[in-house]
Amino acid sequence: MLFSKHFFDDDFFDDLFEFALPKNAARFQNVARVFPNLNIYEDESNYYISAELPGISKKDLKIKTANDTLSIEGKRENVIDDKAVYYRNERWSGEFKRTISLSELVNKEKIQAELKNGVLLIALAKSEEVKPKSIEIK
Amino acid sequence: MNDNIVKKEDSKIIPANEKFYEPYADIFETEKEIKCVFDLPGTEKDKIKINFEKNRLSVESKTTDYLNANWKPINEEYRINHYKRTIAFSNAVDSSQIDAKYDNGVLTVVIGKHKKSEPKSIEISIK
Repeated sequence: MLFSKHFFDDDFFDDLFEFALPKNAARFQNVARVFPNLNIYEDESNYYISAELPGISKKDLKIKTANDTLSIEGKRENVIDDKAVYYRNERWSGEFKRTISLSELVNKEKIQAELKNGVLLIALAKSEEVKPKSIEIK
Repeated sequence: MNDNIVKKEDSKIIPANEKFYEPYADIFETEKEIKCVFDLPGTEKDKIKINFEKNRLSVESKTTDYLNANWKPINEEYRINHYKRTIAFSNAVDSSQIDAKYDNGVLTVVIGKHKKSEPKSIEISIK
């Protein structure tokens, strides 16, 4: 190797390349990434699923339950302007679908969803059996 | 069209130990303007700071607490975090015309361009 590691760490290379990649560039080099990422939480009475869906409007999003699954699907259209000159094009577009299996711990009749500022939040009510109960001492 | 209107991005000015994400962005130039589109889900209009200084556009925001503190995480695939990104432009951008809007988790910043001066042709007579 001609160049030592020290040489690569130097500012020289940042200045050499006009387009230095952002620090977390690895995040968008992974083309086949799972979308959307989901976070799951719980409290005493509900489970909560949150997903980041920026730029997706209500009409482009479908949430369905069938048998024991909950699916989130939709599409994001990111129209590329042919006449424009692109310096960055990192925001993906296309269709996505993600399915979660629901156990008997969820009351499937009570599922609520809200989309706000590009974040989808689904609240699933826990079935009576899993809710914590306090036991009275006689 | 000006070549290389976007100079480069500098993460250097941000301390390395600070935790943040650089949001995904589309940056493109049309005839009249430069558009920067950022994915900033989970934040609010009032919490986004946009700054343009010395031809550097910086966008910063903290995601709002849409989660209740009482919720216990079961499985986390993404982190709710701090967004920050700085992009340097060439002198072709006009900082007096900057517009921004936040809609549906997407921030769009539109920056004007200086009008190119028409090349003047001057006839020079030979004496």
